[in-house]
Amino acid sequence: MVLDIDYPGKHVLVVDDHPGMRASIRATLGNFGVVRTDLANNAQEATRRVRQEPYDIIISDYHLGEGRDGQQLLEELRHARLIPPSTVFLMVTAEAGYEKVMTAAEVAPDDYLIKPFTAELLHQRLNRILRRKAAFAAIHQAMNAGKVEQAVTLCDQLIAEQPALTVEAIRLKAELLSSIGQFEHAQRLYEQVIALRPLPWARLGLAKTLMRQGQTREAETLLQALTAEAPDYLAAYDLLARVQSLLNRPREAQETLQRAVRRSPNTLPRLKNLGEVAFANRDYAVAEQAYAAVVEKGVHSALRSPGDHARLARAQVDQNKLTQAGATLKALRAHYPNDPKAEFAALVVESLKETRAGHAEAAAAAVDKALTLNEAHGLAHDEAMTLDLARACLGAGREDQGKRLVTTLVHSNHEDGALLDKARNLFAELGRPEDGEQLVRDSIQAAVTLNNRAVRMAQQGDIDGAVELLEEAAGDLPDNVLIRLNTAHALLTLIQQRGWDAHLAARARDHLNQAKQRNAEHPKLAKVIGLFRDLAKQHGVMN
Amino acid sequence: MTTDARPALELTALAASQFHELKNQLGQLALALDEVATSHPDSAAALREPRINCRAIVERLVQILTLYKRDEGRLLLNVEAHDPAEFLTELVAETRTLCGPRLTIVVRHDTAPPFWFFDRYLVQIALFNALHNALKFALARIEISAEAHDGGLLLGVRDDSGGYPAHILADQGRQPGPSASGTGLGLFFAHSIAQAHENHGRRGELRLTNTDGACFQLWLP
Repeated sequence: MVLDIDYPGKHVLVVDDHPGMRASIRATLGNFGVVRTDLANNAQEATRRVRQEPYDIIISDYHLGEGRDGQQLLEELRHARLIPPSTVFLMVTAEAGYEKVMTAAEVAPDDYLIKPFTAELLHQRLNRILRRKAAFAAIHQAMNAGKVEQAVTLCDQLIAEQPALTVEAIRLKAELLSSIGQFEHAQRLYEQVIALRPLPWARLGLAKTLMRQGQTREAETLLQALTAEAPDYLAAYDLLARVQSLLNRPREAQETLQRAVRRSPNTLPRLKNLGEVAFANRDYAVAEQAYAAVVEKGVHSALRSPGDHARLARAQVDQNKLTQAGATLKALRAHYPNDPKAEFAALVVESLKETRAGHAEAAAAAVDKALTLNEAHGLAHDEAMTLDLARACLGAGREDQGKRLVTTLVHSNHEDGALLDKARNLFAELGRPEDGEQLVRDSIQAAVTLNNRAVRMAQQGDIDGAVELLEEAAGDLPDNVLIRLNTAHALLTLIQQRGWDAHLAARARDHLNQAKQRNAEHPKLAKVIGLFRDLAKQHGVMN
Repeated sequence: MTTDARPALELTALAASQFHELKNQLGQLALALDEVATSHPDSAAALREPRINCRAIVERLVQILTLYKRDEGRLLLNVEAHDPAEFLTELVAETRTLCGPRLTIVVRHDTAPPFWFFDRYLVQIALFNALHNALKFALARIEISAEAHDGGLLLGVRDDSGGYPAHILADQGRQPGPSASGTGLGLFFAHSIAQAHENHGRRGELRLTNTDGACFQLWLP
């Protein structure tokens, strides 16, 4: 396919720590018509430039001297959505480490170029990527509009029209199908690719679809083999650790992540994950190491947040390193001045620290301030933060507030075994295991009772009654994913019985969205979304 | 990749790191020469030889370093699906900038599969090497081809020269061989890269023949 590429209209950013290289890439680009080329000498400067103006093409070296490398830059730009999918990212790398670049993570550059390269090769490679972007443009557009099924259809069309892109299109199609819960179909696609060639990404995809269908042990076997045969394919370690956590082997999960971190010590999301797994294992030394690395390597990174300093301080408190914890909190406040989120995180850990030090009054003062901030800004939105706040409350004699926080959390997801364990642990560590047991039992009971009553009603044919009860329950326990899903299911059953009703459908959709936001991987979610789609299709409604 | 009991090259880690540096510096020199040739068309003809030579040296260094890595057991293939037609297009564009009007380059890929699985980078180096030889020896014509063959992909570079000397045909790139021109090393590299490609128990092959000139073929399973 010949395609005229409008190079004079393209805005290009070249990132390289070597001034000679930057200049020669710019000169080369000029020779095939690029007139607007900006230069950056490290990841930090690149991020700053990208925040200021949009680029069509980013050409970055993998090695950027001190600080973050090209892969981290790419991950940050994509994770923080600083660049749209249409922006081209070309990674330049020395031949010495190119396998690492290719397999570093699931976030891959559009293509890569191995040094030394010629002017013509750079030109050809850019042509190739831009042609590819054009071929996939309609699919990306459908994806951006949330029209996943249309995007899937377009993948099939692309395969028919441009067979050369078959494998790439199958890969995208499998990812799309997974995203709407069609794991069996996605699984067949991955198996189809593996039959041609056992490519690491296809093996990883297969393991993921198996995991999502509850075949956790099969997924583990595949991933063990993959990490053994392609030890540089780091995404496989991340998934293996998740699978091991699901199989209730948190120690092995931690070891798996530690193996990956040894191979590639700079990936912030993986370091944070290791920190959390280590916390769950009460291995506070490893948690401290992991978060210390996040804090150190994440300077100027959009992937670092005040919570990371707080987790570091928390790991230090847990090891009784109170002086270090104090220093970490000071650094936290200095890095994020006038940030209520940072202040809140600091106050929570400060309270834990004062409790440890035996300063009951200081501990109570800190936790009271944290509770006030939380009330004003709703800051305890994630599980770890909420549990820490609860721990601080209980430690500082704020019994009711502490219990209420844990109760709400358990209500939100009473089926999440790992969360329940954490809630029990919290009380166990305070020397009150029975209180934890009782509170968890009562909280589960409340959610289960409401849910069961509604399910019984539905089984007896009183769908209207079930809907009413469930919607009330969803009002009382807005974070409970199972109740949200059952409410949506009941609403859809009404549509099945009485025909399409836009009002009922909108309510069902709202509950589904709420559930998806809280736990996109709930085993029942895909089923109810599938039912919604089928009904919409049956009644000729596009969605 | 099969690792032979004995290393193909006698090279120390220090020498390897020096080679690496040299290769990078030469690479930048090559890029600078490209830039001058494009921005000053009148000097393009005079720069042709130095550019070809500069690249040939860079490629020999890359081959040496890759083989060294293989001997150390550190060479991992990065196999992905690629469009052979597109792959040849890149190769030809690159070659055209070097050969000038002296030679006709013919490209054939009408019977190539829509995609095939191989390590694009390593196969590209192997073919570049064959192309540079062809540029040196061809009289008027070079043919580059990709076709489906025997359940695999057959990539070919053929020139209209007098063909390979007998000892090269006899050896088929199986020895690194001492050769001032670097031909021996390049063919050994191509042989090694072909061997490293494996699919369902079959390994790739380098096939050297004299068919209306020197015919270099890489078969990938």
